[in-house]
Amino acid sequence: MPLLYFVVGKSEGYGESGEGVSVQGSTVRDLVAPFEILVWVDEETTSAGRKFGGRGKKKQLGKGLSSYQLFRAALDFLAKHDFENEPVFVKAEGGHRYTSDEYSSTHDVVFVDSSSTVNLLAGVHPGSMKLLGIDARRTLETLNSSSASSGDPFPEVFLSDHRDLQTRFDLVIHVDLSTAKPRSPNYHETLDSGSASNATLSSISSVLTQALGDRVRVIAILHPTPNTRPLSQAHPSTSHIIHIGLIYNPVHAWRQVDHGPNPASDPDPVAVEQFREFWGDKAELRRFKDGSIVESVVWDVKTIDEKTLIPRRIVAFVLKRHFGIGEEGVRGWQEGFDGVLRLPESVSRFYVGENGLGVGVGFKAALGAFDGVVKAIKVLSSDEGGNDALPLSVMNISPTSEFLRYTSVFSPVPLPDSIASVLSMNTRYLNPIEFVIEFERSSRWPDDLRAVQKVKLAFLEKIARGLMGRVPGLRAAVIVGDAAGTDDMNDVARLEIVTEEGWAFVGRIWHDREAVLLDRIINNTASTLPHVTRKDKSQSQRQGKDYHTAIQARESYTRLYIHAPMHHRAIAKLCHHFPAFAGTVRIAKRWFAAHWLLGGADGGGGYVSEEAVELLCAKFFVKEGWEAEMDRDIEEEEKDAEKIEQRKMVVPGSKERGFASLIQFIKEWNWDEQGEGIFVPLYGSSSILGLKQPKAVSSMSTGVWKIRTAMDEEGCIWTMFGPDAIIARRVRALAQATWGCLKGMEMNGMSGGGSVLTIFDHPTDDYNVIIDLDRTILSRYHQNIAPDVSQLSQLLRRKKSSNEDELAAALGGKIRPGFDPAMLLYKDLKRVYQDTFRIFHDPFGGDRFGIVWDPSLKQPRPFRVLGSFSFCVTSSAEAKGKKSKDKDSVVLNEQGVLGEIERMGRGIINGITINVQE
Amino acid sequence: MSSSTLINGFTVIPISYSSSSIHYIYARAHVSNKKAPNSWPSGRTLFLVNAPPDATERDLILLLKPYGTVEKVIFDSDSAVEDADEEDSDSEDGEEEGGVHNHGDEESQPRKRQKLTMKKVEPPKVLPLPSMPLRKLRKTGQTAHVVFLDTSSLDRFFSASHTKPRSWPNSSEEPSGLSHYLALSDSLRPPLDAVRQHANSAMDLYEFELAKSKRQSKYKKGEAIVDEDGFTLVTRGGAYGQTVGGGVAVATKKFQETGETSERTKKHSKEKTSFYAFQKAEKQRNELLQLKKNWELDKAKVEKLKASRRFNPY
Repeated sequence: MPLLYFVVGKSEGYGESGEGVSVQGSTVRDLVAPFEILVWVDEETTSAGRKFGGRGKKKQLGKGLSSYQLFRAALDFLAKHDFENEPVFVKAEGGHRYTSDEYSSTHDVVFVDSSSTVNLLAGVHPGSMKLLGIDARRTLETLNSSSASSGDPFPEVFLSDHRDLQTRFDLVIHVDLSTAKPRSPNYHETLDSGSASNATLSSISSVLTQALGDRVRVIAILHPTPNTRPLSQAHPSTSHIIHIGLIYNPVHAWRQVDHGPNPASDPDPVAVEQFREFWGDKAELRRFKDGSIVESVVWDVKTIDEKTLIPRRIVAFVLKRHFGIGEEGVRGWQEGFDGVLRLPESVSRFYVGENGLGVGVGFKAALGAFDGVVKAIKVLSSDEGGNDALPLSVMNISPTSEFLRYTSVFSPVPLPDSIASVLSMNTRYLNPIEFVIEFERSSRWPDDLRAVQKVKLAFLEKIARGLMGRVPGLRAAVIVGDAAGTDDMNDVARLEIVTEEGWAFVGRIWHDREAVLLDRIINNTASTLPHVTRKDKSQSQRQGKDYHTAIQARESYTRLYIHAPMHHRAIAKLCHHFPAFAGTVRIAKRWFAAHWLLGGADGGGGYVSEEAVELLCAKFFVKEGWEAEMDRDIEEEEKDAEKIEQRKMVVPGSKERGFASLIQFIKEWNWDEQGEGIFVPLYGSSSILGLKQPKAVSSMSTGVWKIRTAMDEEGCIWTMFGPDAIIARRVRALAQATWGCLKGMEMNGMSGGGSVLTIFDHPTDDYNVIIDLDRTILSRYHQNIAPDVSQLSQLLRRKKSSNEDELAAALGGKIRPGFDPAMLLYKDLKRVYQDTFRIFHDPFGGDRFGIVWDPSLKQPRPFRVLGSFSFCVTSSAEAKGKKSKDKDSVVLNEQGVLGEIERMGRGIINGITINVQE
Repeated sequence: MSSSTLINGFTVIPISYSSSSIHYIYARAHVSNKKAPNSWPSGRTLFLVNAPPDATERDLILLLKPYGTVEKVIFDSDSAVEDADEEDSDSEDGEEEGGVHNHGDEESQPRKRQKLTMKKVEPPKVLPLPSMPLRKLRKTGQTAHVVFLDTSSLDRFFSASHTKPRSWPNSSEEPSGLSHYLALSDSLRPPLDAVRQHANSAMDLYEFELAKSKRQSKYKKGEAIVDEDGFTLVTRGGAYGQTVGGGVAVATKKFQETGETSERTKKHSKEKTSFYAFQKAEKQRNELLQLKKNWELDKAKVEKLKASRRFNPY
């Protein structure tokens, strides 16, 4: 039994040791003692075992069990037993003296020992017992899962710290009880509890339980571990800081209306009176759609984001009403997280509120606009298309954008002309939403890659023309290449659509023959038959520009047309099923972006792709076979409700908890340990049935993170271009710092929004060079984590800079979807100087670039023609003296490179600062 | 030769970007390599190392103007591309080169005409997408070949002093910085008519090439005739049908495994070389002569080696 003591006490935070917070009202000694008896009695008399189960189950404990088995059995009992409703009596020799009802009437939880004199769990809140159940369950799950896959569960169960609040609770509220004054002090209860503070705690617990009802599954009250006190001190000094931890029930948690009793039909006026007394002026009599007139409490919200705040508002409200704790005493940091996902007020006021120009915003509106485009294209491809009809009919149009799967950092907004005209230059960014068009198969496509690209151009041109002719107000263009200037074999043709409402879409054409053609080049089977294998691969294959282009094209083909739509569908499904998932991903993306890392599955942008972040977040929500369970849930809602209930409690119910779990995972993730990476069971067995697994080209992967799914066995399709080992170590360091910051918030309960921003505040001391950008021309500056609001709103009145004039003149009132000069410059610099330095940038309106030189270039090295960096002859005489005998040595010409950057970024770069490092 | 710095055989040309930053380009006369497929005229070609990543042809022409007229500039990183689609980009190049030097056109013109006259039918011309003068940003530390019009400019270049940094001539023709990105964004979205014409003409060319290659192929019968509904017209003839080219070949196991055809097809010369007595005698005599000759050569070589190895005290 020391085993159990250790688990429950030390690592879960029920005990009194160490720092951190512990669960109120339960000391481990109280808890463990009964189990000692439980096991002991069980071994003695088999009939007693039945009693513990309480449901006539088969006995779980037998005589010959090992200590590990006993440990598991005890955990199992803790996890499954419903302490609240089923009192536990250890079998006593002469039967129990009092009936169970007698205990239940005075105590919440009943566990009577064999002497029949003590209720060991007296004074323990049911919430604490539920939490214990969940933690026991999680430990069991760890034991189970680790035994299947190789790996020792011991460190996870016994050595790692599970006391942190943010990964265990969906909502953590920091409450200062120093001003608490119960509304209706009950002296009997105070006496019963032993001290006034204990009484307050227990009444808070019961009031919260009543107020929140079925919104939450667990309410736990936690307080800091008491310090040691000198013997001379009579009473323990109790801290008046407590934490309230809630685990949501996602079905009801964000309900806006609570129904109370009906004063007309209810014969008992006391219930109505009680309801009014409890809710105060919040209670109102309302008539509902079904005709009933009942007492109710309504929490009104303006946006969907605010809905997630309802549980917190309820807690704040009842604490104020019943304990007189003001706003300043109740603190959380949830709003801070919401704040980083919102546009600044000076921009958003054009979209929502009374000044709004009445345009649809958000994911729903984006999906609606997308459906409109899809319909318009489908009409074109059908017979109704008339003269504009496409030669092939459109089979499928699949979205692949994060804006259509609820996981973009900012909820999508359109940019109609009416709004664009009032916005200043640095807030006028329109994010294009990507999709993929799939035509029916046809044998008439040319059998040549370059020609295929031309046919795509022709198709896109036809669609663009047709759409412009049919849909009023729609503008369409064909994008014929990308900035990097690629070979004409690459698939770069895109269709750009801007609808009348101001939504931008970018579509590509998926032609599955391309894969075959590319494979032919790669495998050098271009002219021969498929069953003929070539032996002399090494010679002809490795050479040639075509081969390299083909490898590249094949990789982007696999990613764009096979994985992206599939990934999109899976993630969208996940967002529907787990309400907290989308929020988790959005915060996580914001975090990666704020630390200048996010972007680019294609290797052009940042280092951690959006899809990789989505997969990492999904890890905390999905378990093996979640799809099947999800379907079953719908069927057998009633049958096995409790089991589902239990499982769901382990899944994060709020985005803050999801984010904390992610940070906790990243800070400890040892990606190169197993060499296999992590497995995310994103795709259920049903969805991949009958689908051939697409082959991924992994040879060019530089990333070290491996996130495997059922569709991607190698796990590098989304991490192909990073993070590499250096970046991954940096991510881990950042996560550790963030974790420390979260911990600090937990302990100090820093007030409101300001503190959360420290998590997203990026330290720039590590960079060798910082490049400042001109904020007035950054088209995404309004998405910056901490924008200078004056720069956003006053721009229209302010004297414009010459840059801006130039930009305004060039834009000419035109809306350029996805035009972000900073990003374009960033991508160019990253590509041009890929062997010279690492460059970092926040894609969401970051106004700085960070540069770290490749340290190896600072060492003098012999002159080489293809140095792939800009060098100058070592100027120092002694270096020359040493080496001048054999070869002249060169070093990186830092000033020269910076001069080039300044020239390339003319009009975008404001200044370059060199960090002097010792 | 000159007062400029030399490093590893390269002349260092300092170029100042601004008061604080100086870039270095390293120059050497181009030495033609027999292995290299594209050999530039030796004697008037300058090989540049570490050209700035945003350098354009015009920039380099302006930089080297004091030494002579530049015929052309080739950036090595994309020379392969330019070779491949010379026909495509010719019109573009012609425009750019035309103003600066006329000789270049004269030289390229006959070559082109020659090429065209070789073909019996003129291939359809691809209408290029409208293009703006845009800077192409290449990888840093790139190399370039600059071909001067005459050899004297190369000498003039190397005899000149390169100690004082010269300012980088940033031609205003191609925009840089913010305006570069605006122009790029515009040029990537050409008018729809241009896209259509380009795509159609490119497809015409593709079909023309396809037809040409079909004419040259072994299967004289041509492709199967597929009608609008996708049905293949089956015509009379041969046991295996005419549609597939009039016959079926069987691959040997060896071919399947290695992808190589057997040596059977190689023709042996019909003439016998050692049939008559005089042939044999002649062959023997020749061999003996050859042996003696080689012996003499070897002896001379050994002498030379010995001479070179002699101890030579100062």
